[in-house]
Amino acid sequence: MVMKNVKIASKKSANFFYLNNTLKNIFAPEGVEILESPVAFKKYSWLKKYWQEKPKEGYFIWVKQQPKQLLTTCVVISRSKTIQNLRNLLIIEKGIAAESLVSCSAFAIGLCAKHQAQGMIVLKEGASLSYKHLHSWGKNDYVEPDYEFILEKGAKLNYFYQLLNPPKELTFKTKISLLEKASANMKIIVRGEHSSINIKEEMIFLGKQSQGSISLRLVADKQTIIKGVNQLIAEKEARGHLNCQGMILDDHSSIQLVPALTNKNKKSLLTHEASIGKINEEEINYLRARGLSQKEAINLIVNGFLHLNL
Amino acid sequence: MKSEFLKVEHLTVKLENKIILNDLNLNIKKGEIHALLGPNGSGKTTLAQVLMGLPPYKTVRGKIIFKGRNITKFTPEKRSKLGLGLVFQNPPAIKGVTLNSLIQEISSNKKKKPEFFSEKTITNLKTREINLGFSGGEKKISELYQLVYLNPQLVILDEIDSGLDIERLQKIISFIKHKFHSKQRSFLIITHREDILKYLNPSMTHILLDGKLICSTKDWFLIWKTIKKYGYEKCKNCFKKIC
Repeated sequence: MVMKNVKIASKKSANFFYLNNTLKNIFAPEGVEILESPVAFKKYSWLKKYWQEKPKEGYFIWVKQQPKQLLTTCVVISRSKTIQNLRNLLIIEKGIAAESLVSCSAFAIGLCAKHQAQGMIVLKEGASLSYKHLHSWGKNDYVEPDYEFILEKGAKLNYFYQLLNPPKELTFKTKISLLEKASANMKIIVRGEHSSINIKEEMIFLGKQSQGSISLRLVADKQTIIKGVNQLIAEKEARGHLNCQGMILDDHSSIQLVPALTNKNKKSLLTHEASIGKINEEEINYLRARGLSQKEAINLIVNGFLHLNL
Repeated sequence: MKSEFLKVEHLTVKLENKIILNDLNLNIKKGEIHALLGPNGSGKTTLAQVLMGLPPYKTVRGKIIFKGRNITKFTPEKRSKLGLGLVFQNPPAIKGVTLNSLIQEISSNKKKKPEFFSEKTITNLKTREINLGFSGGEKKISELYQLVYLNPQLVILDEIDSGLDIERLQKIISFIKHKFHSKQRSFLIITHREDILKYLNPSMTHILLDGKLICSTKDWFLIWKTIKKYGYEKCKNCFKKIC
């Protein structure tokens, strides 16, 4: 069965289009080099700094000049029992501002596929990146993204991750390291149904005057278990904030949030707020009095909680 | 002869084993304005919510007939679609849901293209999250605008006038007259104020005490004068059931 709400970029619109275990298209705009990871590993010996061994699949994107357009990568699984094991690397050179749309999805709901992706994103001094990461999976898939962001001096990152069609199991790890005056805002939106979801976020302030925030909005429905471990670590003078909000929609779901702050610098300020609750019945009834069915009312409230309407 | 729109017969409602509406009867005809007065805690808001089908109340006796249909067991959304509309006294704030997005939902339910507000007062509200940080007046305007899209045939106004200054109240009344009353809509107005009665001149006024309708009269001013002078205490001892 083909999934609802899944838009797959066409070969022409994506800069990197990868289907199952096969490259379908690469389109590199001016000033941007895009290669398959194994090809890049062979071409540039310095990539051993990032990859200790030759990757089997994935992409290498090197932004050397200011791009004039959004960079899009599209990784799709359409074949049953496909296993992807991607090694991705994105490098933004000094002072460049880039926008990236990263889409990983299954084309149908019952593929029993596995998507593993280890990614590294490097923002050189003064670079900035708006990174939109969209996942959409089938209910029998296994998904393990593991991304590391390195923000050099004065670099800026806006990271947005969204999962509305969850897999059976998701293990989602992100590590963001910030050097001097670097800043990062990370926003994660997850709606789980019949899923087991593990989220581990780590933001490490390694440089003076670095700052960042992590915002999580998690919804657990239909026997979903979500566990989120989110950590801010200040090695140098920094400011960081963690905001974790969870909503549980049924009696067979659970959310566990573990916010952790580690401050090793007396000039740093790390804060957090966290809450997990149920949906407000008064809000549902209010919307029902406006003619919405119970399901429509819940959807509207949940989408509002996930900030999808704003 | 005007046809009966809403007919409430011997309605008895419980909340947690306590009777909060007791053997209540009410008839509202097409185009009529009825006012409902009573002290705090007498059951006015409960009646509004029961008419709209909102939980957690349990109807143990009697029935509610609307447009000839027994709606006693209808869900709130079914009642709304049938033409009942309620302006909440204290509408809840819904985070992340803008007034505009709710209007679009309401409009799609009605299979109408969404209209966009042109009035200055509402233009400022439509991109804000519903009732979040709204002033008292803004809440009332938001409520009424939602009803414009729902286009109800019987409008229940639960203390639409509370917390409003006279200027704001006049604007809201003019809006009600223009958008609803001119179209022969029926009203049940719950209030504690004389102003709204003066402006809308209800055809029938009722007094609710301890969950019972104890008095109904066509002369709202007579009732108002009595309440103003003696409070609701006099109503308790009035066996004629009329001032």
